[in-house]
Amino acid sequence: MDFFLSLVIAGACVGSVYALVAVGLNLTFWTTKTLNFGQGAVMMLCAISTALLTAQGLSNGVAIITGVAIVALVGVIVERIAVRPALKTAGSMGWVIATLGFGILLQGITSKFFGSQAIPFPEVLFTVQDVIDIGGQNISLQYVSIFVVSILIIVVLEALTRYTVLGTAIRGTAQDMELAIVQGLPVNLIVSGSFVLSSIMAGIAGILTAQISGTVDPAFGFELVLMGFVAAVLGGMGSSAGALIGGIIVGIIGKLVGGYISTAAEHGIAFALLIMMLALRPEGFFGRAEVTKA
Amino acid sequence: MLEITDLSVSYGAIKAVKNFSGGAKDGLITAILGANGAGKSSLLRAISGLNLLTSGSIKLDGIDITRLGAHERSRLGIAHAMEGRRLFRHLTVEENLRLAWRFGTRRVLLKPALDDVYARFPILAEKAKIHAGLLSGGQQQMMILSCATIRSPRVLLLDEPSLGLAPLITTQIYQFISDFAKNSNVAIMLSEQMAAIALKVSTDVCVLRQGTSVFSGSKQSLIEQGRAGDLSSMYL
Amino acid sequence: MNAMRIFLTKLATHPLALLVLFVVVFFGAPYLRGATLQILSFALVSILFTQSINVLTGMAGQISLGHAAFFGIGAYGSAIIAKTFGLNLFLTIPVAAVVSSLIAYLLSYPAGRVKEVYLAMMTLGFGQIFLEVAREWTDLTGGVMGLSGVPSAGLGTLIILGHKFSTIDYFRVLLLITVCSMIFIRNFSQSRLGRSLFVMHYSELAAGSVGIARRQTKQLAYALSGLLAGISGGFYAHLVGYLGPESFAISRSIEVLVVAIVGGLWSSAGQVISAIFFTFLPEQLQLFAEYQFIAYGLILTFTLILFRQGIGGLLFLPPRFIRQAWLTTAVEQQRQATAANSKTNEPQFLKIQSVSADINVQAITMRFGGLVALNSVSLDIQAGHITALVGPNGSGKSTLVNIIAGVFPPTSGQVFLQGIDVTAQADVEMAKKGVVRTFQDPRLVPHFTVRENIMLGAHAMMHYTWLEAGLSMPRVRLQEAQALEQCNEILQLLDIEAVADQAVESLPYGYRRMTELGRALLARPKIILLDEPAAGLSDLEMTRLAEILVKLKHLGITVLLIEHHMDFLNGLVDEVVVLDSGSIIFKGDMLGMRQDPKVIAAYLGDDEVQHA
Repeated sequence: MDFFLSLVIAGACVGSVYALVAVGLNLTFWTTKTLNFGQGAVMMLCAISTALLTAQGLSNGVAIITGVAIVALVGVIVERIAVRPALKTAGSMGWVIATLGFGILLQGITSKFFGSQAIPFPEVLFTVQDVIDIGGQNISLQYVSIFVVSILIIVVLEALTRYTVLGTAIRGTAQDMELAIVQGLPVNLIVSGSFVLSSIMAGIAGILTAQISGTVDPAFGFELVLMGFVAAVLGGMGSSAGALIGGIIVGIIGKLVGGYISTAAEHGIAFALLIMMLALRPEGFFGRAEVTKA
Repeated sequence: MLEITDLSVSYGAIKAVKNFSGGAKDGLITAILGANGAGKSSLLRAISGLNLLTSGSIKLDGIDITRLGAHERSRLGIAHAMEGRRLFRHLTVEENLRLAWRFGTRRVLLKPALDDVYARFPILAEKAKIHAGLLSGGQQQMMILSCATIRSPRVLLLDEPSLGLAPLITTQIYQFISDFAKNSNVAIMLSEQMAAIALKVSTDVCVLRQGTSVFSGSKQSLIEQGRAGDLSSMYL
Repeated sequence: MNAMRIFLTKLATHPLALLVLFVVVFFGAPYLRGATLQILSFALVSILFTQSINVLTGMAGQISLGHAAFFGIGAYGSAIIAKTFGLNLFLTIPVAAVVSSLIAYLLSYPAGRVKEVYLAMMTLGFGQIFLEVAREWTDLTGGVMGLSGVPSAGLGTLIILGHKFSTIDYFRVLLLITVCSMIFIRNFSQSRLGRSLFVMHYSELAAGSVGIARRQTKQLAYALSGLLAGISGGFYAHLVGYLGPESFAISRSIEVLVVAIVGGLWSSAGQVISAIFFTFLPEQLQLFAEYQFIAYGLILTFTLILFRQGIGGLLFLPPRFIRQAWLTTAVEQQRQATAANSKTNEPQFLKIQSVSADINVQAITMRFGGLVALNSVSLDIQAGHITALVGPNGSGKSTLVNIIAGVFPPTSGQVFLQGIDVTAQADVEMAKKGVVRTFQDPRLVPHFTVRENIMLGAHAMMHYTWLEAGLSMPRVRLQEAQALEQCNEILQLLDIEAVADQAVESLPYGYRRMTELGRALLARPKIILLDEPAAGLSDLEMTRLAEILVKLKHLGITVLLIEHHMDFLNGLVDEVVVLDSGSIIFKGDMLGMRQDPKVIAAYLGDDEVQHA
C-alpha cells in the first residue's frame, strides 16, 4: 500500500508538470489552432541556460529569470518565422513540420556549441535529501514543490484569462478572430503573446523536470512535450481544467505502470492512452467536439 | 462622415461590388438595399477593412483611409456589426461589452457607458453574467448593437440588423438605431434586405443588384420618382 | 528554364533511357568498389523508404512523424523471422512488410474522424512506443544490445536456396525491387486511387460528392505507406546484419521527412536525387555530419515555406496523374473528332436510360441546437425538370440541399429518391445512387489539370483495385480509356477542351466552375444539385451555362439549383421554389414569383414600401 501511495503521489507531481506543458500548448492552440511541435527544445533551452548560468556563478533566481526570458524571446521568433509564414503558404499542415524543424534547429545549435553531454542541473528548490512526512509517507520535497509550483502557475493563468481584459481578449480572439480584428483587438499582439506565454510555461516545466532528473542535455524535453500532448488530448484540447486532470491521470498511470510492470513502459503507456483516446473519444474528457469533423 | 468613391471588391475572380459610390452623413442613416448576393455585406466589409478593395477610395471625415488595415480603421472609429449576429459566444454579455469598450475610442468611461446600455436594454443587465451564445436572437442583436455603440464610434456599419428577428424586436432595434443616430451624430450605413423597415429610418438609399448600384439617392427622390413600387423588380 | 525541365522530364520518363540506366547500373555493379556499392545500397533503401512518405504525405497529405516505426517493424520483423525460422529474405521481407502495413492500417482507424494534427501526434507517439518496445523486449529484439547475426550479404551469411549471396547479388535484388516499387507507385498515382488520395487532402466534401469513400481512402494510403516502409526496413536489416534500437529513433523519422521534402513532396524523381544526395553527403562531407542536425532543422523549418516544390519542382515538369499513353490517345481522339466535325453536343453516356429521377422530401425539419433551419418542408422535385431554389439569407436553401445530398441527416422527415427512402444515406452513398452536387466555391485539386480533376468524377464508376492499378493490369487500361473518352465528351459539352491539360490553379474562375461541373457530370448523375453555379460568371459564361443546363435537361437529368441571380434563372427554370425562414412560401414559375405578395414581403419587408 505504501508503495502504491508513493507511486500515486509521485505520479500526481510529475503529472502536474505535464499539465503545465499542456496548458502552454493550449494557449497557442486557442489563438492559432497550432502547437509548437518543437516545444521540447524550448524546455531544453530554458533548462540548459539556467544550468550554464548558475555554473558561471549567477544566482539561481537570476539564472532562472534569464532562462525564461530567453525562451520567451524564442516564442516570439517561432511564431514569426515558422508559424505565421507556414500558415500562409505551406498548406494546412506545413506548420507542424516548420515548428518541428525549428525545435531540431535549436537542439542542433545547442549541441554544436555546448556539446551533447548532460550538464548537471542545480538544486533550485530544496535538495534531493529533503523529505516531508505526509500520512506516514516520506515524500521528496522536490516532488511536492514542483506540484505546488505547477498548480500555482496554472491557477494564475486561469485567473488571468478569466479576470483580466487581456485574458478576455485572448479568449475572444480564440473564438472568432475576424470579429476580434473588427473590434480593434490587437490580434497580432495577442497571437505573439500566446506564443510567449506558451514558451514561458514550457521553460518553467523544463526547469521543474530538470530539477528531478538532475541533469540536462540537448535531447531533453522531447518526451516531456509528448506527455504534454497526451495530457492535452486526454483532458480535451483547449481546456485548462482538462489539461490539469489529463496531466495528473497520465502521470499517475505512468508511475503505476512503471512501478508494477516496468519502468520502461512508463512513457509508452501514455502513448497507448493517446492512441486509445483518439480512437474512442477524440474530444477528451472535457473538450468540446471540435476535434472531430462535421 | 463617410465618403465612398468608385469602390470595387472582388473575391478572387468574383466581382462582388462594382464601382460603388455613396456614403453616410453625420447623424443620418443611409440604407443599402438589395437581395442576397447583391453585394451588401461585401461593401460593408470593404469599408471596415475586412475585405480588400480592388479599386476606389474611402474617406472618413475627409481622411483617406483606403490604405489602412481593419485594425487601424477600427481604432479611428469605424464600428462594424457584421452579418450573421457575430459575437463572442463563450464570453458573458458584460465581457463582450467591456471588450468592445476597451478597444474602442473610450471617450466615455466604462461605468457610465455600461449603465447607459443597461438602461436602454434592461434585459442585458439581467443577463450580464450569462454567456452571450445563450441569449435569444433579439437579445443578441441588442448586445451586438450596444457593443458597436459603446465604442463611441464615428461611423457605424450595420449588416442586416433585422435578420431572423420577430417584427416587434425589429421595431425596438430600429428605434434604438434611429435614436442613436440623432443623439450621437454618428454617420450610419446599414444594409438590409427588408427594405420597408430600413426605409422608415433612413434618409438616403442605395439599391444593389448583383454588385451594381441600380439606384442611389435620397429616400425622398425614391418616393417622388414613383420608384418605390419598383423595388421588387430591383430585387427580383 | 522550362526548356531544361521539359528535357529532363523527357529523359527521366523515357522508357529507353530508364532501361539503359538500369542495365548500366545492374551490370556495372561488379566494377564498383565495395564501399561505393554499399553506399548505393543504402541509397536504394532510402529511396524505397522515401516512397512510403511520398504516398502518405505527398499524395494523401497526411503527416507522419514516426515513420521509423514502420521501417523498424520491417527490419526487426524480417530479421527475427529469418533467425527464428531460417527462412530466406524473399519470404521474411514480404511477411514483415505485411505486418507493418497492417499496423499502419490499424493506426489509421480514427483517420476519418479526427483532425489531421491529432494523427500527426499519434504517429509521433507511435514512433516512441516502437522505440521503447525495441529497447525493452530483449527476448525478441535483443534489447539495447541489439540483434546481431541477421543474415547479410556483407557478412557472407546470406544464403538463399543454397546460393551464397554476394553484396553484388544483394545490390541487384535491391535495385530490382526498388525499380519495381517505383513503377508500381507511378502506376498507382496515375490511377483513380492515386488521384483520390490527392482530393482527400484538398476537400473531403468534394471527394464524398462523387462517391469517394473517405475513411477507406485514407486507410489505403496508410496501409500502402506501411507496406513500403516495411519493405525498405527489411532490406535495411539484411544489408547491415545488425540492428540496434537507436537506428529507429526519431532521427530516422526526421531524416526521411527531410529527404522527401527536399526532393519535393510528390516528385518521385526529385526524391531519388534527394535520397542519393543525403546518403552520400554524410560520407563525403565530415562537416555535414557535424552540422547535420542544424541542417535538418533549417531544411524542415524553411523548405515548405520558401522552396515548396523541392528539387523535383526545380528540375522537372509537374508530375501528371493520367497515364501518358492513354492521355495521348484521348487527346488524339479529341483532335480527330474536332477535325471531322463529329463533336457530340450531348454526351450520350449521360443520357438517362430509363426514367428520369425525381426527389420527394417530406416534412423535413432541421435543427441546429436551438435554431430551426428547416421547418417541416415538403417538396416534390420533378423528374427531368430544372428547378430553382431561391430565398433570402438564412432561409434554409443550403441546408435543404445538404440534406438531399446526404451531407447530414435531417432532424426529422424523409427523403425519397424515385420512391425509395434514402434519408439516412451519407453523401458517398447518394453519389453512387446518382445524386451529385457542386459547391458554392469550386473545390478542386489546384495542381491537377482540368482533365485530371474531371476524372475524379469517374472514381466510383471504375472498379479496379489498388493492386491492379500498380501492376497495370489490362482491366485498368480499359476502364481508364473508357473514362477518358467520356471525359472528352464532357470537355466538348462544356467547351473547355482548349484548357483540358492546364493546371486549374492557373485558370480563370469561369473555367474552374466548369471543371467542377464536369467532375459532377462524369459521375453520371441522375440528379445534379448546383450551389450558386452562376456566381462570379461573366454574362457570356452565364449564357453558356444556361445552354448546358438545358442540354442536361434534354438528356433526362434532373437539375436543382440554388441561385440568387434572378436574371440567370429567367427563361431557364421550369419551376422555382421560394424558401423563407425554413418554410416554403411559393412554388410556381418565375413570373408568378415576381408578383407574389408573400415573396415580395419576404424579400422587402411588409408591403408598406409599395405604398410609400
